Amino acid sequence: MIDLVWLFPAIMALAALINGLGCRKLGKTAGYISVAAMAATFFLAAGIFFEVREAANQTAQQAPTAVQDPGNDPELHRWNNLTDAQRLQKAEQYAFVRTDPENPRPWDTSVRGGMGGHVPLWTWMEIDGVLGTDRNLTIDFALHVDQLAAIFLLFVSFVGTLVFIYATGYMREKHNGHVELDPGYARFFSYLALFAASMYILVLGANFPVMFIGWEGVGLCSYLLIGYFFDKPFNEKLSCADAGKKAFIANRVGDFGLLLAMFLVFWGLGTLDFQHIISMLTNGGEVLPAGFAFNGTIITAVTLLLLLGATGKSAQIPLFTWLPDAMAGPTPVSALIHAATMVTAGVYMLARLNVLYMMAPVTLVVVAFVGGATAFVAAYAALTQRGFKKILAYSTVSQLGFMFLAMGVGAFAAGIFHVFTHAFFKACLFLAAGAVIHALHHEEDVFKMGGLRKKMPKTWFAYLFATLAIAGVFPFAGFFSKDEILYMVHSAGMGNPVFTFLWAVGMLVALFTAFYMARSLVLVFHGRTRMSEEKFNHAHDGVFSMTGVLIVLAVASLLVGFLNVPSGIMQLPGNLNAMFHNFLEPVTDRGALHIAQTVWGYTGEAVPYGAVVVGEVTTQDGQLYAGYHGPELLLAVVSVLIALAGIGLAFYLYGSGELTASEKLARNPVLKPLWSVSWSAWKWDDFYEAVFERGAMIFYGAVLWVDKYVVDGIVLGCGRVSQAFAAGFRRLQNGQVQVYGLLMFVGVCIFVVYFAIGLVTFLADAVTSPAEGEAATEQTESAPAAAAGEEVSINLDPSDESAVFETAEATRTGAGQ
Amino acid sequence: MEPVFEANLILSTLLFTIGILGVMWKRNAISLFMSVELMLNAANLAFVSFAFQLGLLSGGILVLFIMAVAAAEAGVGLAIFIALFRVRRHIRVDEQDLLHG
Repeated sequence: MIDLVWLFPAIMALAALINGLGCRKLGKTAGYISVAAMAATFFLAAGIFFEVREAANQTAQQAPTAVQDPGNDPELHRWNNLTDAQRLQKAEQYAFVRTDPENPRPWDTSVRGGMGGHVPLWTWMEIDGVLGTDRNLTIDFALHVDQLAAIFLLFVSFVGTLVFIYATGYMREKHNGHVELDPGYARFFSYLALFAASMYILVLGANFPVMFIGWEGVGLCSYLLIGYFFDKPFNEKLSCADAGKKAFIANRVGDFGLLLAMFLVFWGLGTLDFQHIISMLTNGGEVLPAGFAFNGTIITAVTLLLLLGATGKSAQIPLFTWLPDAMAGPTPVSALIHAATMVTAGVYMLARLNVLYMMAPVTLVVVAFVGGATAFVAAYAALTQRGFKKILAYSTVSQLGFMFLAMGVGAFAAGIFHVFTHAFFKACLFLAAGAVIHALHHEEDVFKMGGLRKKMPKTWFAYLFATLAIAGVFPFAGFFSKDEILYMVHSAGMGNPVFTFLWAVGMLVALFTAFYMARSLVLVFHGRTRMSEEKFNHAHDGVFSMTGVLIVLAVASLLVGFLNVPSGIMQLPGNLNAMFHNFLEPVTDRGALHIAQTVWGYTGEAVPYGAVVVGEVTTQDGQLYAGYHGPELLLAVVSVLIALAGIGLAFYLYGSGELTASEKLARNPVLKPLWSVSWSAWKWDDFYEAVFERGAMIFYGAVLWVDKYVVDGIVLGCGRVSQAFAAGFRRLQNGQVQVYGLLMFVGVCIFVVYFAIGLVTFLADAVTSPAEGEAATEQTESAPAAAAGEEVSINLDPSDESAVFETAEATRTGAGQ
Repeated sequence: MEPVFEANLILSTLLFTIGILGVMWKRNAISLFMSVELMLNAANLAFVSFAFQLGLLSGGILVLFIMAVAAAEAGVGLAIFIALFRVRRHIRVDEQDLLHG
C-alpha cells in the first residue's frame, strides 16, 4: 500500500489536468472530477494510515535491538559513494524492508524510530563531483511515508474533500430559479486539485528538493486562487490579483531562507534527504562537520533560515500580512488555505525537521517568541475587525502562532495536534462564514448582520461548535490541543522564566480568542438584526452540499480532541490516552530523545511524554531539567474559565444586537488608542508600505535614472549619430532622375580618368623597365644557385640588398601585368 | 588611321556629349528620350566604326542588339510617360521627385 503513495499527487494532478484542459465544456462535471479525486485520496490516506499504524505497532513490539540500527553505520552516510555490490551487502545486513534489488536505498527500513517507508520513484538529479569537489549529489524523486506524513495525508484529504464538496455548492448561484455556475468553475476546480497535489508532494517529499516542489506548488496555487476574481477589486487599496501577488511575494521572501538553508545543509552534510540528515545528526557524530553539533553555529543558521521559510508559508511575524488579504479568494479557498493546506506547511516542516531544531536551542527560543508574538499581535488585531473573514483570518494567524509556540518549547506533537484540530474547526468556521456571506449576497461586514440564528439554524449550529472549539471550551477539540500547548509552555517555564512569560501571553491570547470568536458569533447570529428586512428574509441555509459539510465538520470539531486526551486531565481505559501523541512520538520526539540522551544524559528507552523540556530529564549535574509537570488539570480548568470569560464578555457587550456599548468603549479616550491599534492591525501593512515600498521606490527611481540617461543615452546616442549622417546624405537623393544621371556621369568620368592615368603610367613603366627586369631575373635565378653552395660570396655582397628590393618590385609589376 | 575612321569617332563623341548634356538639361521627358537615343546611336556609330576598322563582325552585331534594346526602351518609356501624363497632366522630369529621401 505504501508503494502506492505516488498516487496521491498523481490523482490530483490528473484531475487538475482534466479540468484545466476541459475548461468550460465540462460544466458541473469539473466539480465532480475534483471531488472524486480528492475522495479517492482520502480512502488511500485511510489505507496508508492503518498500514503505518500496523507497522508501527509491530515494530514497537519487537525488541528495539533486534534490528541493528543502520543509522549507526557511518558507511551508510556515504551511500551515494558506495558501489552497487556494497549497497546490496548493506541491504542484506540491515534487512531493509522494501529492498529493490536493483537499487537498494539506505533508509528503506521500518517505521521504527520514525524512519518510515521510503518510496523512490526515479533518480531526479545525479551530479558527480559537485562544484569541483569529490562529493556526489544524487537526488531521487522520492516520497516518504511515516506517521507524520500519514496524519497529514489523512486530515488534508478529509478536510480537502469536504471543502471541495462545499465548493461545488458555493461556486454556483441561483438566478431567477435556475442555477448558474461561476464562469471559472472548471478553472477553479483545476486550481483546487493542483493545490491538493502540491500539498501532497510537500507532505510526502523525502528530501528537500521534492518538498520544495510542493512548497512552491502551494505558493503558486494560493496565488492563483487568491487572485481567482482577478478582475475584481478587493478593498480600497488592492485588487484581488494584488492580494494574490502579495501572498506570492511574501512567500518568495520566505523561500529564499529555505533555499539558503538547503544549500547550507548540502554544504555541511552532503545530502538533502530528510531521513539521511536526521540519521546523520543523531548517529553520525564523527562524520559531522563542526557547526552541526548541538548548538552549533551552522545548525543554528540553518534552522533560522528554515524558520524564515516557515514564517512565510505559515503566516508568522514578519511575513504574516499576506494571510488577512488571502480572503480575496472565494471562501472555500480561504478554508483550504487556512485549514488544511498552505499555512500548515511551515508547521509541518518544523515538525519534520524537529531533530535539527532540537539541536539548535537558540532557534527554538526564537521560534517560541515568533509564535507567541504572532499569536498576540494577530489575536489583538482580530478584536475589533468588522470583516467576517478578516476576523477569521487573524484568528488563523493567531492559532498558527500557538503552533509555533508549541514547536518553540519542543512540543512538536502538540503543535501538530493543534494543526490537526485547527484544520477541522477553522474549515468549519470559514465554510460557515462563506455560507453566511453567500446567503447575504457578499455582505462581509459583521456590523451589518445579526439575528441570523433563526434564518440559518444549521449554519449557526456549525459556527457555534467551531467557535466553542477554537475558544477552547471543554470538550471541544480546541480545548485539548490548545490546552496541551499551554501546558507544555507552562511546564517549560518551570525551568525558565522566559517560557513563563510566553505562557502568560498564551493565556492572554486564549482570552482574546474566546472574546473575538464569540463576538463574531454574536454579531452574526444573535441579537437584533442590523440589515434590511428584505435581505434578512431572503437569508437561508445553503444547499445540502454546503450544510452537510458544515455539520460533518462541526461534529468533527467536537470529537477529534478525544484522540489526544492527556492522562493528566482524564484517565481513559486501555491505551486511549494520548493516542495521537503516542502515534506521532517516534517522528516528532526523535530530536527530543536524541538531545535528552546525548546532551542531558537521559538513559531511558521511551521518549518522555512531551518534549525534552517537559520530560523527566535530569541534567548532567544531576538537577532536574524542567522535570516539573505543571498542574495539568488546574491549568485546564483555568483556561476553560478564561475562555468562558471571553465568551461572556462578548455576549455582554454585543448580545443585545445594539452596538452602543462597544462603540462607547471605542470612543473612550483611554481605550481609543488601543482600539485604533487593533483596528489598523498594528499598522503593520502601513509599516511595510512605508519602509519597503517607499524604499523600493527610491531604489527603483535610481535604477530608472540610470536606465533613462545612461543606458538609453548610449542606445539613443547611436541612433542620433546615424540620424545626423543620414540628414546630410539624404540631400543627395532628391528624387530627380537627371541629378542621378549627372552623378552617374561624374562617377564614370572619375573611373575613366583613373584608369586612363593607370594606363598611361603602365605604358610608361613598360617602356622604361626592360633593363631592370632583366637584372631582376638574373637575381632570382641566383638564389637556387646559392642554395647549391656555389658563389656564396654574391649573396653576401652588400649591393644585394638593392637587388633584392628590385626583385620584389619587378615581381610586383610582373604580377600586375 | 584613316581620316574617315577618325572623323567617325569624333562625330560619335560629339553626339554622345550632346546626348549627355540633353539628358541632363532637358526638362521635357520626350526631349530626354531623344537625347538618350542620341547617346545610344553615338555608341552605335563607334561600334560600327571600330568593326569596320578592325574587320570584326561582333561590333556590327552589338549594334543590332542596341537597336533592339533602344526600341524596347522607347516602347516601355513612352508607355510610362503616357501613364505619367494622365496622372500629372505634364511630363516635366525635374518635378517627378516622389522618391526623394
